[in-house]
Amino acid sequence: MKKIILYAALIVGFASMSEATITLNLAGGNLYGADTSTLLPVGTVIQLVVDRNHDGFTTPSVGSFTGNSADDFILASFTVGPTAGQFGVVVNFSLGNGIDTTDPLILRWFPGLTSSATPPADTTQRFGQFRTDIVQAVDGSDINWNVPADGFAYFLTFYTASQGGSNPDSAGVANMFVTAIPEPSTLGLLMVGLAGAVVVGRRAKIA
Amino acid sequence: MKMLRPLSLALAGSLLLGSFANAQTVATDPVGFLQPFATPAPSPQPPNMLANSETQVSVPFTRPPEFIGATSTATANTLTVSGTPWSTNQFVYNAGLNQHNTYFVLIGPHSTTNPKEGRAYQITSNTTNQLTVNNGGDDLSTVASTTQILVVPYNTLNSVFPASDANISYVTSTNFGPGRRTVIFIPPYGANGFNNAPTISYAYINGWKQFPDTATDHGDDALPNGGYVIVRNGATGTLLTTLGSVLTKKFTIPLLTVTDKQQDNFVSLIRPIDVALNDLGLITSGAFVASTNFGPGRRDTLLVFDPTQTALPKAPSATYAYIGGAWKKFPDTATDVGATDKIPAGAGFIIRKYQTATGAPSYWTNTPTY
Repeated sequence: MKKIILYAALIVGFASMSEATITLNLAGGNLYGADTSTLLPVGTVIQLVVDRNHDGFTTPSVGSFTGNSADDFILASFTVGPTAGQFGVVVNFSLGNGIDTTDPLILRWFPGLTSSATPPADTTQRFGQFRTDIVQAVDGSDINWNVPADGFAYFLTFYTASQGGSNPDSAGVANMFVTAIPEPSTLGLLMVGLAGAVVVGRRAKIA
Repeated sequence: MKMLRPLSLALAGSLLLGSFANAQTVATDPVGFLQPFATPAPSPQPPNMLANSETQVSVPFTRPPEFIGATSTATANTLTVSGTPWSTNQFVYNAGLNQHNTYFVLIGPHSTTNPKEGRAYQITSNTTNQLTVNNGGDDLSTVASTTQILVVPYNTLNSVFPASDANISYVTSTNFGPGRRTVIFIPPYGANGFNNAPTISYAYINGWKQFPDTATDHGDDALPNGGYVIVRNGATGTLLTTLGSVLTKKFTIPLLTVTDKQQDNFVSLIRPIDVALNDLGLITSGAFVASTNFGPGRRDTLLVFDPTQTALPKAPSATYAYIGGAWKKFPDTATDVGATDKIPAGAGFIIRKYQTATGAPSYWTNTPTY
């Protein structure tokens, strides 16, 4: 049976949404792996991340898509598809939980990863990212890459030249690598060393 | 914004006699056409859905009924008529059988009293003489014998924005990115609370496609009665001409409420004339809770959009409440605007219901003034 939008809603009850939402129709392509010779396969993980404190995005690290940042927050995880290198997804979210209008947004893609439940495993993991403060209207964007006002729906796009967009195809390349996280033992040695340096420094000052 | 607007185009009314094979009666409502928000102006008409803007627009007509008759019996979710006027499931969408319509049944008048008059229910199946409907939690068993019913197809994207209107009422797109032109958003009918964003959008890409899928045709998606769509145009404005049957019956829209916050209801009138706030029937049907002021005493509110305003996205331009026995426009609580301010034909607007103790819907019945 064909969908009846209003009446279906009346019957099944309300969706579990809170008030004051924002809808982002997020779309784009082409996304690549190490270079523009290979489109990202269908199923590759893409994420939309928000920087809630406006302190800059933390680079993804081994074990954490957000580099263990306290304020970077993954608004949506989805995958490439239905065509290789391209994506399209409806992202619906609410302000609150530290997310405010004008918070910066960034798009990231992770070649080789197919599940957002599996964070980067080592420093060979590539990723690409994109954001701009310019409204790329010619590419179909209604807004720049900042959280817009609530209560409305917007198109937010990232298109490269091979898809008719204004960005070079090189912008779609995953040309960055996740960073390493110090092992707990390494971190402990580092702190001991730091404490020792402070003590030595104080003694030298007293002498 | 002054909501008083002249009827843009004269209604071309005519009686359609006996054109439906299955109808039990021989006369239907008048049919006509109307260009919402258009002003009497030299031909050609300028766009009524502006460039670089959103427009909240509805169809102020129904599609022509395909059956008009009377009930013999009713249960909570079925209506039975005498005779065997139908074929099995002829009112059920089935594209494979070239049946592209989805239908509702409208409860009409009864010779005495009919508390369900004006309510409409989607038909989920039918036999040769019985309709099964999605009653939405309602109970139709009180519909008395010999109550008039009408079976009507819902408007669809294809019926309101047909392929033949390409680059007239909408601009075709090549994709959802750089090649996107006119987009139609569906208000978030199913969302809890207020100030929610639409989550469903369409563009015409070799047929009506729903973002982000450019493969599946959604032209048969039914548009709710008494609702509206949001047309977002790019650099080119467009001109929508709506047409259909003039609804001469009452029409009832359930207004949803919740217990802990305000609830937005995205509504329109199925009347091809401008309707004064006093004639909406919101107060007389008991569906709209009066306020004492625009502050702490504010209860239900009416939020209207200005179709002449260019805005992307577009927020409501005026807010009304019923204060001191009259319609008032924020922030003026002195002037009665109930007779002067009107909902333009074909306009979409929002009724923001104040929270209720039970979360039960209110039923708003609008009676035509013609």
